[in-house]
Amino acid sequence: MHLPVKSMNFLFCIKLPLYIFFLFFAFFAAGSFNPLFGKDEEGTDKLSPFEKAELKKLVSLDFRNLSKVSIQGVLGYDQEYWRNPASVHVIHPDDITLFGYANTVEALRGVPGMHVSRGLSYDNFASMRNFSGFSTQKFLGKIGGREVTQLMLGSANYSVDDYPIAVIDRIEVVRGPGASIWGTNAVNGVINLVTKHSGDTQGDSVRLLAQDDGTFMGDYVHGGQVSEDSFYRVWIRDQEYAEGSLDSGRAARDDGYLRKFGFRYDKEWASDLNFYVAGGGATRRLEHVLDFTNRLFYSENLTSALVPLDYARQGSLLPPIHPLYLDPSKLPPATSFWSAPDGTISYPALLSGEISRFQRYDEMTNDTGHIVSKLDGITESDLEWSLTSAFEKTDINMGHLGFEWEQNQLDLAFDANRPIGDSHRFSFGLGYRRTDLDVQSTPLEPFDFGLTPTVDLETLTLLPSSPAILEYDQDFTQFNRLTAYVQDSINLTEEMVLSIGTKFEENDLTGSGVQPGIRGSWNPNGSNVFWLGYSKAHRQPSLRERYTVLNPGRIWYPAGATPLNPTFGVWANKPFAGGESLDREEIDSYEIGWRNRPNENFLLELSSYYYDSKDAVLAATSLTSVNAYEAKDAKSYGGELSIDWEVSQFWRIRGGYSLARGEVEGERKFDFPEQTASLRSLFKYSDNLSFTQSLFYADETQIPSDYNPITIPPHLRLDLGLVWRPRQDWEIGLFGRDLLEPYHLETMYPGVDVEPARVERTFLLTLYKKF
Amino acid sequence: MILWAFVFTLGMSMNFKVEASTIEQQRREARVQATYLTHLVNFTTWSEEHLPDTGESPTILVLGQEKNGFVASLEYLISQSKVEVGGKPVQIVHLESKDQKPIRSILSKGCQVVFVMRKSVFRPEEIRDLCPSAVVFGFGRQFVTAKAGDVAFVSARNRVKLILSDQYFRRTSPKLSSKIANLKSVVEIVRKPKN
Repeated sequence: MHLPVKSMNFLFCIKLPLYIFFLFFAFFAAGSFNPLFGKDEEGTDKLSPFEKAELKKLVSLDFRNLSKVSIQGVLGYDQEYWRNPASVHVIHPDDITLFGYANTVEALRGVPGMHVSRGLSYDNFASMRNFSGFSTQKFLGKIGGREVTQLMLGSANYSVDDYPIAVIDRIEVVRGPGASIWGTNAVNGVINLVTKHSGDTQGDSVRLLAQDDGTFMGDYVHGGQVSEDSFYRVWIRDQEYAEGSLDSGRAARDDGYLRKFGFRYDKEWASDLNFYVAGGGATRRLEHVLDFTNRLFYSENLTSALVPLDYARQGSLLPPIHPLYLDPSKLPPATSFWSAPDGTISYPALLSGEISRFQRYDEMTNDTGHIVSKLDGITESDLEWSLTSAFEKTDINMGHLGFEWEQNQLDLAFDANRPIGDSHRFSFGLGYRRTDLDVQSTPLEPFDFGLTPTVDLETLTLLPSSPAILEYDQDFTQFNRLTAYVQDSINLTEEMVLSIGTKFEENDLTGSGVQPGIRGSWNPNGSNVFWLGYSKAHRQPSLRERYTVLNPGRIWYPAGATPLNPTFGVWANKPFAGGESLDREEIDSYEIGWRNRPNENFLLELSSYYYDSKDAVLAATSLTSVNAYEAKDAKSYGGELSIDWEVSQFWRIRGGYSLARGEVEGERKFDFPEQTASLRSLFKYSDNLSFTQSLFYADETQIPSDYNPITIPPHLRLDLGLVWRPRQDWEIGLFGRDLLEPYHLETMYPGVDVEPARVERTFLLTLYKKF
Repeated sequence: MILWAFVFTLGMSMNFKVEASTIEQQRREARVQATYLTHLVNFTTWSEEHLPDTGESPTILVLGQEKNGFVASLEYLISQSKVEVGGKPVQIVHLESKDQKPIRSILSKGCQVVFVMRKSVFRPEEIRDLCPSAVVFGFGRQFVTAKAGDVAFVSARNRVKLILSDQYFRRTSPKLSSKIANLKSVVEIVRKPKN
């Protein structure tokens, strides 16, 4: 589609909420030029509100970090620079500890445009700006210098990859596509967790969290100095998950543990030549359920409809004269698993409205280790460069699916930028990634029907054994990816900054591609920045989407139903192959934004976006689908409003509102809340006592399912906290979370979980000894 | 096409020497310098004899013209951070005039920090003779290596760097905390120039 046509779509296809959003935009923007609202200080010796705010940030930096502040900000390198033409939200460690978040992913709840939902006790799902689905995340995750978005599932596990708060410098959340510098998969945005230099973590730090339900987390960090220019730190963490409850009140069986360790060594070879090596490991042991309730079907013959086996069983209990009667001799013999249901569960399509409930728990393990090293420097010609290498080994066993993979991944990257003349800053880089996989699938016991043969419906042949639920095409276990990017940040005038660049990529999954982007900002006075952006971004399909075959259920054909079983009944398997033809998703994205700072204590940011996705990969939701995943064209649009207001030196308020709408081939989707909002307040009662309040709202979401689609109702969450600092480096916090109701629901895995878990009201005690 | 344009531009640019920066970059540089100065004041101790008399405020004296918001940044930081010297709030005096007489008068009354802007005609030795209680700040490496200043800001490689005289650590007053001396990757320490 040509650009003007897309622009017309952008203007006219969008419905009322977005017009309202634009109206707000125009209203505030017009108001900002009112001298009463946005004071314009033109004098050369006067400071603008943005400059004053930057000074407040600079004075909080120590000498080491101050020496790293760049004079010329560059998009992609200096995220907090107020002239950046992008929506950037930065989370600092205090934002996590003062609000009682256990880990970093919980802190993303306060970021406009992000939706964080909790499934089981150990799962927090993060999604950004719509169409994130339930397990594929359409944003790029970088943690401690590594790209953590996994190729197999297309998502990152932020619980396993998390770091102790004491070693986190900041988390940068860049909303909107930034593919030209960040690369493939930076479709909806980027989350970049930056860890501290070891020199900034000298001494000992401890953080302990105990929740009233028995959940516990403790980490210890120790840092020391090896020589006058080299430093180290080591850390350990133990996290014990307490068992929660499912919506029905049953035990969720989600208890388990996560144990981690890590280290970092920094060496400052010269004032502009630094090296670090960091690494760590994690092991997690949990159980996860697989819902078998709707995995057995009955069919009279190859052309008749599939009905749940329980439906057929209900028919066999009817009198023979009933139109839905079924001869009991046509039913399969029950195996030990299938003869012992665990109660019943709602099945609206059945006459009885219920079906026997079958579920199976098995171990889900995750063992991972990584090492990262980075050498960076600045040359005499002002070329800032860095050379990064990372190696990661991961072994994930999804015992509940009978699917395990071991992955070795190597990343090499060179990044650089340098000024050109007075007004250009040129960034460029190269990257290489190699991924090797060893994938194993195991058939699960519920699908072992003893001597009864299994038929493959695709080929109409008898199978030697019942296939695994998830099988992987072993021809695709090695992947290479080469990337290169160039970007120029141009100061067109004193008021206008333009950033133009493109990323080139060649990978074994989707071939070669170009991802250009252009962003510009206009700073008409000292208190306003407007920006515009266009980007073409790509998202690779995950390996699961392309190369797995899903065998989700079995169909019973009684004797004579197929040519293969004239005298005996057979189980048949209908495979749903991944889409090897699935190409990369291509997204044209447009964004406008406005940042207003009428004074140094008040910041308002408003942004609006429109994404036009071609071949968006979506999970197929019907048993009649040919493949497990389908590529469809999709659109999403919306906007975010955020406010950061230091009302006084004792009181700070931050709030956000997000509107997000998604359509797949013209049909509106609700797998992401259309409206989310947050309001957080930090009130310092005295120098050592603070109150925190957080209010979160998430609109309704709908979770598709083969038999009982679930609507997660809108929910409002209130957290309150009291933090006492008996000494400068100690924090003792008491937090009440989800205080408005005993529990509510947030999400679940469709097709895997039987029912959603409760997110319950909890009370949390934290003890934090800082460095 | 775009790629080749970029590659060509890059190749052409590698040998360019970077000239003047934009106004915004100069202002940002000034903000970083003002922040360094604020931190250094917090890490410096003055003996009793180098502190002002009762009823007078410790003084940061800025000499010469500037257009990048350095003084405004410094005033903002000093007021926000409530910087004190010897338990008293600090005042900033900015003298743009080239008339040396009033400057000499203020210097001889005593001040704790003197910041010499690029266009100022005063030399560090002269300032120290008039005002031995002052830490003398200026620009460029030679301000410390050749002119006996205490601290110089050097802008290179898109960063602001600190050059410190070892006398700033060694003398008894005004004296910089040895903690800063250990940050050798952040600051460059040079020995006192030989006369």
